[in-house]
Amino acid sequence: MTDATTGRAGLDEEFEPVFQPYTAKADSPWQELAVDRARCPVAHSRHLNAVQITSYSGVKELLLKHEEFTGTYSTLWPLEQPLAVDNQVFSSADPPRHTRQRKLFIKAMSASRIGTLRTFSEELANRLVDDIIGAGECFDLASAYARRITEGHIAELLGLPESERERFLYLSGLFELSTADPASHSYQAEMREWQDTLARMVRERRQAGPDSDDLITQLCFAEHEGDRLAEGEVASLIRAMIRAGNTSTAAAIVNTVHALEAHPQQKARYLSDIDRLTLPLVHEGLRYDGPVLGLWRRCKRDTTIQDRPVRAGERVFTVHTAANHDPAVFEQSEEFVIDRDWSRLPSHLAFGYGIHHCIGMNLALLECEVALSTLYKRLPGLRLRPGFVAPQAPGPVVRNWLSLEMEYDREALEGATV
Amino acid sequence: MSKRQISGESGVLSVDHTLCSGTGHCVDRLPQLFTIEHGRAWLADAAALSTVDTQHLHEVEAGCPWFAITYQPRPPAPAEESSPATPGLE
Ligand code: HEM
Ligand code: HEM
Ligand code: SF4
Repeated sequence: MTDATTGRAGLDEEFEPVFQPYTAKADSPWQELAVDRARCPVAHSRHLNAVQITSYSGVKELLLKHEEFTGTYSTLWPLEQPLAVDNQVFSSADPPRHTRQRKLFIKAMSASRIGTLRTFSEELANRLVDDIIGAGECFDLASAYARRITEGHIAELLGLPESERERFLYLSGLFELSTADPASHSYQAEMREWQDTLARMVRERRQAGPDSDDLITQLCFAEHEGDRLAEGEVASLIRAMIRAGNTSTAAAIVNTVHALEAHPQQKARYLSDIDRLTLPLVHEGLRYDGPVLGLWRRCKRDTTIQDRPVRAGERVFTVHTAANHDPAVFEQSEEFVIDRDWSRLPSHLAFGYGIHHCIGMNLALLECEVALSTLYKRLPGLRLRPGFVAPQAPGPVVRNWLSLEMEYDREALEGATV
Repeated sequence: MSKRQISGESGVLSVDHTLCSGTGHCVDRLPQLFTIEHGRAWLADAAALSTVDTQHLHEVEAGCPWFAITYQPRPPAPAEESSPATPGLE
């Protein structure tokens, strides 16, 4: 651990970044991140015990240097040792293992395939709004809407039968609880049950044959060097997919609504032209307050980022939201502007960049687009409940307003729904 | 004119639109060859292919996060045959 804090030749010794997400995670860290970016966009942080990268060009350069920087020490937690090889999946796997895993999912997650889910997506969003209307005039956007949107889509993508959806998602959520609190053994029996459920599902789909185009069936019949994947490997890939896709997309929906509600002029513009402005709103939400605050990597061999040396063994933290607020790339970078022309702008880094670029992007964009437009079209006078202060998730990795209590005008609604 | 496949002296380069998700990593690397329209990558004229180093064609293939780009190098012509290769158009 000591080598990361000594002998910092080349990096600014004197400068300790002001971004301190463990002890003082700000609801709105943009000012701190702007200070760090302006003073030293590639700086060693004692607080993070890592090299912190806050500029757009710096984050992008690192993500392109995947041969120098590995995710095998986990991209979500700053581990001291690499994960066991069996647990190296997706962003925590390096090529060629990573390439093999990613290729298995590419077709199912491609823009052309995900486009076929649009009708499902619209029906789901409308059903959830019906439930909200049925329940009263105040609701929590996160639990009553955003999380149900993402769970519904994952279940559809995997082809889970309606009867099994709830239990399946409950059990996959347990895994997250147990990693948050590894000392607890109370979930172990249920987790074994879940692994068994998955393994059984794999056997059943293999018996049913390869014709269905759901993701689990495709994985069951995928081959690597002539061999089918082991049941256990299919199970862990699916589990990782559920985990990577659920919370992040729910956070994207909630964060965007949070930003829109804090900017009344932008909200008024949005309401005046929902059809045209939803897509640029989704991208601005991801740029302005995307779900991934930052991610971890480890340096494998001596290299440079923005001409500053980074040594083998050092831990690195890429601050994606800081890159997305970089004034060198985005005009009015600290402002929330819902009608940017994204076809003429460099892409934001909310989905990462390079070989690990979010494979769920097409699904996430569809979910956000349909969820936001349905919500604002159907609930007149939608607003935050006055006086409500949204809690922010802790830690350096995520940006996520954990709940967002909202209300709307029921009278206007009843008039409108005759 | 934008295309999904072009071939020239150095080989054949193509983009599979069932996989491409329009992320633009290819445009970042080789703006002279790729453009994005309607959320997919398109290739420039075949003539542009010969201006690009084959090394860079291999890199752009490997750098596509959706495995949508294929670059097939043309096998080197046998030494005796001296017919000048003509850049093909497709
Ligand atoms: C708005 C919502 C989302 C955001 C902001 C997001 C963000 C990201 C980011 C930043 C990465 C790169 C990680 C890295 O470089 O280490 C990533 C990777 C990944 N995401 Fe997403 N994601 C979202 C939704 C989804 C969904 C819906 C799924 C799946 C259903 C998903 C599955 C994955 C997977 C499997 C990877 C690893 C890809 C690889 O390593 O090749 N994500 N995501
Ligand atoms: C805003 C909230 C969140 C975002 C944006 C987010 C983002 C991501 C991303 C990008 C991945 C990459 C997937 C991969 O390559 O393995 C991932 C995986 C994962 N996330 Fe999250 N996540 C969020 C919340 C959480 C929470 C609250 C937990 C639970 C403590 C959690 C646990 C995990 C786990 C266990 C994985 C899989 C890691 C692996 O299997 O290697 N995430 N998440
Ligand atoms: S890098 Fe690949 S997915 Fe991205 S636009 Fe180019 S061809 Fe399409």
